[in-house]
Amino acid sequence: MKFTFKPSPNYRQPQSTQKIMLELTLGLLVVFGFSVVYYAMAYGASYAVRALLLMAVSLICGVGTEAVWCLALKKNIKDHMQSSFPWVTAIILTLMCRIDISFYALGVSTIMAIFFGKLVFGGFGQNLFNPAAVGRAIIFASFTGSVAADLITSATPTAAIAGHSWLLAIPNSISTVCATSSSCSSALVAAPTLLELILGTYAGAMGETSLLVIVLVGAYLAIREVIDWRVPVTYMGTLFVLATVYGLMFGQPLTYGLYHLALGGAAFGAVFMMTDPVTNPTSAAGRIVFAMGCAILTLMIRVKANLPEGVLYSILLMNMMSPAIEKLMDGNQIKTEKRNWKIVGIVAVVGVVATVLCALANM
Amino acid sequence: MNRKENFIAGFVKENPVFGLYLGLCSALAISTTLDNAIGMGLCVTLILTASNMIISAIRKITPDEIRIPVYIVVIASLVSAVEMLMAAFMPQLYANLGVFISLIVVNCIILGRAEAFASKNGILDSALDGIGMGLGYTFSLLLISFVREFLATASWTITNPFNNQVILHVGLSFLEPFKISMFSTSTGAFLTFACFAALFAVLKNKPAKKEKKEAK
Repeated sequence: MKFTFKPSPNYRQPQSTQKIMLELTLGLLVVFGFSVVYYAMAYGASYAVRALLLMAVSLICGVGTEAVWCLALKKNIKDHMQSSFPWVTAIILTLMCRIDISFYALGVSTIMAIFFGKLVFGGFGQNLFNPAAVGRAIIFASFTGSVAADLITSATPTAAIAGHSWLLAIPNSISTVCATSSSCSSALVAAPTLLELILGTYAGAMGETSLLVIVLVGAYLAIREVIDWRVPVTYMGTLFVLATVYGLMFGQPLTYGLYHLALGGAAFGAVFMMTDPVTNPTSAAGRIVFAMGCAILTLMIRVKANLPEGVLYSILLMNMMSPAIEKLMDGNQIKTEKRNWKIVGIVAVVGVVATVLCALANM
Repeated sequence: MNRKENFIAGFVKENPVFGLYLGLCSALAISTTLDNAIGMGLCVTLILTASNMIISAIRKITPDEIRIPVYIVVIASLVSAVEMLMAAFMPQLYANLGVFISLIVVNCIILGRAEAFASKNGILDSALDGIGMGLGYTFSLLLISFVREFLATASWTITNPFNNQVILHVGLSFLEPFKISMFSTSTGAFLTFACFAALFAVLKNKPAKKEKKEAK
């Protein structure tokens, strides 16, 4: 018999949580940098300064909340910060907001996201929900009117399209809704072309606009094994297929699915929020089911619910399901492969049926 | 436990909402404004005191096997009477509280006190317990609604339920742009409740911890 004396795998691995979070932060800053450059080029330097100030406010509020928490619990602030990463939440939250959000709204929601979304649960690693998503939900619930009046106030393409059951996204197709609706033309003007959507040269949430930049950063992070590639790939694949099914039922062209990927926070959420190792299942099969569930919920919320965006709430809902998925997919991953594929198949069938039912109900 | 301690217990140590987590459904749902909190709190106090007294009075002739149905009949009659009186004399408050007045019948505080206290103690003690617990409930509702109304509307308003005249209105208009409308919804109710419950737990556990330390 041969014994091997080596440290446990997690000690042998060169990657520590700190390194992973550092690379994730850099990736997020690249997305933010693109956004700042875009606003500076398209709208002027004052917009870029505003974006930077928003980020600063969110960072100060996020780090400040954790510092106060440490003081209240008499913990060492430096040690706590090194294992808590409040800035990641703050950066993600800022990137999910539009540039016209007021400083107050962003600051308060950052504080509440960190406190109620993370610290109360026991800090980093114990939170049930993605703290940044909690913060964005708080903004949705409280501060939709709290915007700076002197900036671009036209609705984002997501909001304009959501008003028409997500069907007017395609400027060169005449959908059934469009033929009868008089307000159709305004949505057509607001809807950017596919190329603009992919490059991200339109006004939307600061970090969510550019599909290209997010996919490139996501690919880099996935190669560096900072994020699990399965989650974004499964999510975007499922969303694309379901959206295509939905689009085909309304006679939309095959590119329709791309609009669902490029609009709103689909790509951003897939790369930076669904991959959060704390709030998604640990097993590979569990993560695939998690991502598929997110995609199904995203599409259903987009086409049926009275909300501008579905990604955020789909993430929060699936975060809640994570422990259940974990339990369902429990066991030796090699031995239970057959069962796991069965579960994935069932989820896929449920998704397609739900999409078809949504489409039938919208007809 | 003497009478005074018994009466005061309802505020912090055995506060029905924050200490015992009873009657949460109504407490979370109606604590949006101070008006609702005062109306609901006093309503529950009245019913709780009356039901405690009646149940205490009939405790010796109530067969043990059917005591819960007997309690429910007593409480339901009282609630129906109060509900009709409110509909007649305070229509606005009645409309605001809506279904939660009829739901006082199944409010756990009332049934809980009947079962735990009134069925074992004399009429005077039970009445005092009812008033104490009822005021404790009112006090908790006031705390929650005080925070929620201010955060959601940046003002406090107290109206006279009989003629709808505003008695007191404190509005900080410069804070108007900073209000957080989420606190008028159930999310805000849960957050406020959780913070207060944590605070009360700290208050409640402080003496116990001290004793433990001294014992060591």
